[in-house]
Amino acid sequence: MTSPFRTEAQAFRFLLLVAVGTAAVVVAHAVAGRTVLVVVCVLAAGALAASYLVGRPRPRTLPSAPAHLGPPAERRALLLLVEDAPDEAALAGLRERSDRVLVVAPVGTSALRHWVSDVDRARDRARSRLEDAVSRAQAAQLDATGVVGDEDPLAAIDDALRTFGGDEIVAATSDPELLAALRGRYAIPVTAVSGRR
Amino acid sequence: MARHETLRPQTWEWPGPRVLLEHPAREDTHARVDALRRAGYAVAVCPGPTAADRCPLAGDEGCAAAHDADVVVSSLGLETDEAREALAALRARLPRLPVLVEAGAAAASRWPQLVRERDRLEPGVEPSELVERVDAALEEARGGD
Repeated sequence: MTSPFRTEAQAFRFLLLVAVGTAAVVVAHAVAGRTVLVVVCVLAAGALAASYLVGRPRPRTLPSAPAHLGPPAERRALLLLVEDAPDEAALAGLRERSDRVLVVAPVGTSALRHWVSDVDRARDRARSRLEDAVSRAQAAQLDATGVVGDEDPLAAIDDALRTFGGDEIVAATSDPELLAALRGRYAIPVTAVSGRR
Repeated sequence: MARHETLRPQTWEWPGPRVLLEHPAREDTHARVDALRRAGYAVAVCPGPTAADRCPLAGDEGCAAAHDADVVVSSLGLETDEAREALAALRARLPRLPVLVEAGAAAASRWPQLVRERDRLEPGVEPSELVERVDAALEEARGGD
């Protein structure tokens, strides 16, 4: 049988919480009324459930990447457009090391709009940002095309890697969590570039 | 590793052939990944077990990335108990899976049950040679089917 706990320390903490919760219930039963006892029971059960849910096993993500697409010597880059388009210096750097660039603009939408299937405006905004970024990349003499991608930036990059390929990811974002997620998911270089001011 | 992860890795996202690089985070990781990808391989990189987290191969849960790989390249060395345990588990659980091991000759001779000489890669192997050895290992494995 597989242990639901990742480490012995986690199992010990859970056991400690059970002991503390039990003690609290016993004390509440001895010195307080029924209402307090019910509240203590609910809190103890909630704490146990939270402890288990927070510490439950989750699959580890190994960075990975598909096989290279295109001619063997060709270098392809994915430019993830989360915030503003990258500035001229970033585009010049990209031109130095890439033969082809695919600009990927995820549809930035809220959970509520997604839930009510109202993503048209967000898609229009993403398309507008994409067209601007591709124009600027082409003006910087990059062989650039673009695509509006999934709402989830990681899913958008997955799709782009399957169809266009990519030997590096350049993310126009300052979001450290997104950068960490990209580096944890893909076994190709991920760099962040500053946006246009 | 993040606090709440287990060591059971996710399944492969990409079509094969697939190479699992068991490779500590080093400067040459991207060069090896790039060479293998340009040779047509999907690649996943595992930094290997640590003293705090056992390799899933050595436990009940197994390792989806290793089970579905076509070739494994282990660059974790043979110096630590954790690295040897992972390698032993690979050999035991997946006896037909080609496993190339980057290790010095002296270390390999000390652990002959873990590293056959023909599966040994010289430490610091160049990416181009790595690709050749992976190609050969895969060819041999397919020929043996």
